[in-house]
Amino acid sequence: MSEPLLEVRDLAKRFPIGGGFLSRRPAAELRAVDGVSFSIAEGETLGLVGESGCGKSTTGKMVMRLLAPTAGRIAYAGEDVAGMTDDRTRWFRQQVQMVFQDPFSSLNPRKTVAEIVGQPIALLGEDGGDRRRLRERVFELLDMVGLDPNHANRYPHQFSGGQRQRIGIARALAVRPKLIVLDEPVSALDLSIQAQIINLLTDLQREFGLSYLFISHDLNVVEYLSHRVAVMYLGKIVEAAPAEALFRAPKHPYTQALLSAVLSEDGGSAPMVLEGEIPSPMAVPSGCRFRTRCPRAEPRCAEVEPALEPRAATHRAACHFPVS
Amino acid sequence: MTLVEDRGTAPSPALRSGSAAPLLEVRNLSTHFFTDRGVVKAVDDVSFSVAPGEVVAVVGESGSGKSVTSMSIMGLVPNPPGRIVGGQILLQGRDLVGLPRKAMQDIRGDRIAMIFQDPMTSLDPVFTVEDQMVETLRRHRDLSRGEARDIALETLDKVHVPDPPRRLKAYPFELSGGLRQRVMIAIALSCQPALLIADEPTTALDVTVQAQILQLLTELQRDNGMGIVLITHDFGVVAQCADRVVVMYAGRVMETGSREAVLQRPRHPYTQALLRSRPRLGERGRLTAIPGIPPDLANPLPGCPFANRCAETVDACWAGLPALQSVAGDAEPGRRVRCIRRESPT
Amino acid sequence: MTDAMQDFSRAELEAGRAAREAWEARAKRDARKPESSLRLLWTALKRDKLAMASAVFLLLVALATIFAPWLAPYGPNEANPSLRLEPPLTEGHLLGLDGQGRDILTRLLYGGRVSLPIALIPVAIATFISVILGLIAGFYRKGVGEVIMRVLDIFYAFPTVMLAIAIAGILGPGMMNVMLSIVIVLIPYITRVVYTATMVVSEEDFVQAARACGASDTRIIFSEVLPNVMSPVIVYGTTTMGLQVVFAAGLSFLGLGVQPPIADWGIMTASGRDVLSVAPHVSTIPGIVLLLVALAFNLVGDGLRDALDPRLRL
Repeated sequence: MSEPLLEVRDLAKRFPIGGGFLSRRPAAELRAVDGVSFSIAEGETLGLVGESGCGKSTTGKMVMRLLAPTAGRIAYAGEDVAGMTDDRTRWFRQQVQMVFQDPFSSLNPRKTVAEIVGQPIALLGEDGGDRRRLRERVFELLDMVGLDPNHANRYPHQFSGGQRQRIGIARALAVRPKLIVLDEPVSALDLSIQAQIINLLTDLQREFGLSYLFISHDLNVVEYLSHRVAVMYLGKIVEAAPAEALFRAPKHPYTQALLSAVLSEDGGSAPMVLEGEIPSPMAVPSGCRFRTRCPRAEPRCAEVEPALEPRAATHRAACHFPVS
Repeated sequence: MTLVEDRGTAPSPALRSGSAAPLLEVRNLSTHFFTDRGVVKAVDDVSFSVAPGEVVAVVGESGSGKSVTSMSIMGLVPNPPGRIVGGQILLQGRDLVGLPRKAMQDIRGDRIAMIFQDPMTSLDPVFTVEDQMVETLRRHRDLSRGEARDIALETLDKVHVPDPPRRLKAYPFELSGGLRQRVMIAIALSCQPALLIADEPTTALDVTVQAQILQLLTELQRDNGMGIVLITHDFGVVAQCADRVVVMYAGRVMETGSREAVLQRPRHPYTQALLRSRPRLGERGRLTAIPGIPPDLANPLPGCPFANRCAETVDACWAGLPALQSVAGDAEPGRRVRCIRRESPT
Repeated sequence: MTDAMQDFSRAELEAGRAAREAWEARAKRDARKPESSLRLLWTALKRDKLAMASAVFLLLVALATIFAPWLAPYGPNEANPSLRLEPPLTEGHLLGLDGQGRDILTRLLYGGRVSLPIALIPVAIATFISVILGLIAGFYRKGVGEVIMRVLDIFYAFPTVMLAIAIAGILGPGMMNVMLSIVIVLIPYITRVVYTATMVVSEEDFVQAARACGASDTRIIFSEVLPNVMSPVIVYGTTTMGLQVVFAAGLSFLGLGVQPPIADWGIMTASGRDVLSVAPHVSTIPGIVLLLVALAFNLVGDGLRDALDPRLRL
């Protein structure tokens, strides 16, 4: 197997909580991401799934270098991103782009579509100075994502949510990146529009050989796009496997509960309802962090934290008593 | 099961179990918004009814008019720019349209209660749960603080809030998302409303918590014989707890019927396409997306509102609005579809 | 599809085709308009008749004072002692004469050349400084931002009017010193407006998107954040202008502002104090002008605020 495009090792992000103007000592610590490792190969989609507060978006931000990790290593094409010079950082930013969740917050309301889509080219592209070529490229990008290039001079508020998300995708594609971090790209969209955007993302991946880090809470959507899936809970990956295996035979009880909670429109079986709620990332339970809600929990789970171990060739789960 | 003695307008037990007289009847409701760009017909000639103990799901995407429908029932349409321009909203036979503000305030929170997508919009951040529950109860019932507090405790217990006495003293920000939603449901239920309007009650919640809340709602509805109008965009939620379904698009009702009928035998091209475009577990590959975007309500389509996105459209679809009528081969009462391609041959 | 294809009459099909073409033409036409937020603002503002009337009024007042030398019937210090304190509508003197026999209309026109700039220039300067301070404080909330906001908090501790009077008193009377004191008094308030707006805008995803493209902080602050914090600043600035016109006049009234023989509306109001019972018009007319100007600025500010409020749009 060739070298992965992106490799993340033991990545962690802890936020100090409290501490006022004068006292610099934090009152507590929020463990948003607590030692996460994964890799993404060229042309591959890794789905990062979890509920709110599990640290999936924080992980995405660290990969984008919008947030500095507390610990751990991120390597892009074998190169440690932390040690990159300004020149290499510029190259990294061109290689890795992002699509945001909120199609309203992600576009500057005071800029035209052409300015928004052209921004990465102006900042990172080689032909940023050539106005005519910039404009042609913007037209090409708009056409690529299914928007009318004649609308290049319109403002974001003149578009619907789905169209705005297309603008966000065009912006991400502008500098021909190889990896795109998709942070819940369809969860703010209407059902009839979600499918359009998912199809667009699939087409673009096929056409340009893109890799995706696809962050989502929606298992239905993740399955459609992802080759491999990692499930996060309270800052840790609890299960990772090829999509097909994970959805067919989940090993971790949390994944099992998540899957069963997905409501199918044919009614189906009653969901396996988990007790209680996700504990606060400021007070992570000892041992296995899922044990407070786990129907299979035993005393050992409170003492020893299970490691993310292989349960099958490519299927790993962090559980002492995995689902067979 | 009685938390508070019912008085006056409460439905009789007979009415609760039966399906004869509707609890809520929305007749030809039209709510329009008068904007710079023209009249936006957010809700246009919408009719449906809810029997006691029944869950009616109003399904649609943003701009379909489902939320404006619920605001209209609650008498909360922002005016200006919005106004109910026609129709009736009959709650136990009494028309709510045009009721004086005071009368509507008495009904709201008492006979009709509402829960929202974001609990923080209906919980006041500066008051404790106790303050808010007791205030709601005493507004509508002649109770002492102590009595109201007892009922509040009982209701919190009913919605499975762990350790009610402690939560009663809590401020909304001290509660997790799921607990806030439960507290909001408890406030909504404290006066034992005949009708509950749930506007996307689980959309903001995590999937594992969503399952808990839906289970709770179904349980409460079964126990209390309350009617529920469930506003949602999620067919999964519909499948989980709705009895009947009203599918809305661009301010119009496009299809109605029982849950089984709409989900398993959808007849309107819009419903069919919407159900097909939904990603499902266990399936991969290409999704069948609906092309285009919902119409600009300030420039409504001349005929069927779905005509510009419909795979089966013919020129006649643009000639005039199709009627909402029964379909050939479906004898179910209340089953209606608005499509000229589905009209039974006369 | 199990449904049988229905037969539609030719008339139905043709009517449908025509309706469809008309609709598509209209949709296309609507789509072509590039609606900048400025144009939207104008559309919304145009509907507010009161704000529009106020804006027109202010424009006329400004033009009248600018062209005072050509418009005024007399010289600003030209006195006709025989007509001292004559009331309005005296032959040749529309608004009457003051205690020294000077034409009040003339002096109002000339007074505006002091009263308006003495308030508006400091508002502009204070806004400029505050926007920079507020952007920096809101963007770098820890460290620099905290220092800026804490220092400005000290100014909050004093009542505005007292502070301005104290500053003007220390610096001594004069036009420049009045302007300086207004600038100092305004900065904490406008900075807070900018600071709050900047904090909100900095959290938006488009700021992250710019950062993901390697945009520098300076670039983000000026090209992404600044255009989005201007609305509340413009509203605040416009609303406060009216107050500052009155305020500057007030300082002159107290003798802390411009000194005679230069006359602004404040001095004119003050000069009629002694004759209030015999010739009330000497004080009240400049007072009414001050009131109308202040009111007009407020109404324009309110109109702008409503027009900029996204909740009122659909």
